[in-house]
Amino acid sequence: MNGVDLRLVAARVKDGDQAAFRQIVDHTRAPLYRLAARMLGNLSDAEDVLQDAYVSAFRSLREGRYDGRSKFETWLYRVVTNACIDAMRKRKVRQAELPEPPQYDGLISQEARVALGELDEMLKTLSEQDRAAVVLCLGEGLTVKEAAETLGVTEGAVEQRLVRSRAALRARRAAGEANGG
Amino acid sequence: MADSDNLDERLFVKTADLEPTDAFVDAVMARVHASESAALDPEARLARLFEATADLAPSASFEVSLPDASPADDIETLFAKTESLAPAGSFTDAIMGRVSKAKPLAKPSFLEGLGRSSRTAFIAAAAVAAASVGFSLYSESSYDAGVIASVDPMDAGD
Repeated sequence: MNGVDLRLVAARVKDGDQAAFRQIVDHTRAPLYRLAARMLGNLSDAEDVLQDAYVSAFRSLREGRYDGRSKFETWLYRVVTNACIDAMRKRKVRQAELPEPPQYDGLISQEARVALGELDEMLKTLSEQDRAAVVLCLGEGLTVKEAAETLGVTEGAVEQRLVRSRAALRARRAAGEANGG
Repeated sequence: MADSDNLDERLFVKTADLEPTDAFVDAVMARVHASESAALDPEARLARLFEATADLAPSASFEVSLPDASPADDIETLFAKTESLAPAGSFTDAIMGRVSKAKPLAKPSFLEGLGRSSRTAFIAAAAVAAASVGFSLYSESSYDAGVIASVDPMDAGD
């Protein structure tokens, strides 16, 4: 997400330049698609949720709800992360429905798909908030401060979630080894 | 009787070449060693077993295949493998298509807007009204005290 000051582009969107939003999507779609996929564990849900999140971000920009105080990328991460957390909660209620096949995944290698499935299997025991902290910090490389801004919590809360998640993952691994694999 | 003799002879001839394989000889010798070994004291027996297994070695075709270091359980490896996740270029078009159809959220009606915007003014007005009531009560009691104070000396004068 480097090279373009997205805060300025966001200001153009606010002023009614809808085409400027394409620039935002082009610059952010890859990392946000990856974020959504890692959060939700499958590409189909990631595509749905990310599209909704972009539409929501567009509306918010037009209505002036991005005040420009935080970094634009951080704000957008927050929009997408919250959308993913909501989707995970709804999915729990809906139970297991077979997802539609993804439509925009043509460039993704088989290895990445398999790894995504394994990642989801590993992270699905964590709560939505803990999973978000792990994905943002360990996966997306955000600092604890950036993750705290994204999640709307304190840095201490993020650190606590990371510690708790690491312990849960270690326990899961130990249990797996004890069961022979 | 003569037929019977002939049959026996033929059977002996046919079974004359029955011989065990070399493996049978090895098996017999192993049993012999085992029986000798069983007679030995444990230490001597162990020494003999070590000696007998000293030349154990794999064939040239033997390859060591170390177990995978469980990459599936390594979260950093999985994050690295999913680093390349990205949508096709048409994803942007799909989003822009939805954005162009997205209607702005319904704006509140005039009365709703009036209600929302006047909330602060209402609270301020209520605070001012409460303060004015308090002040009027206070000033009324001061006034009464002043009147009483001015009347008492007159009564005393009368």
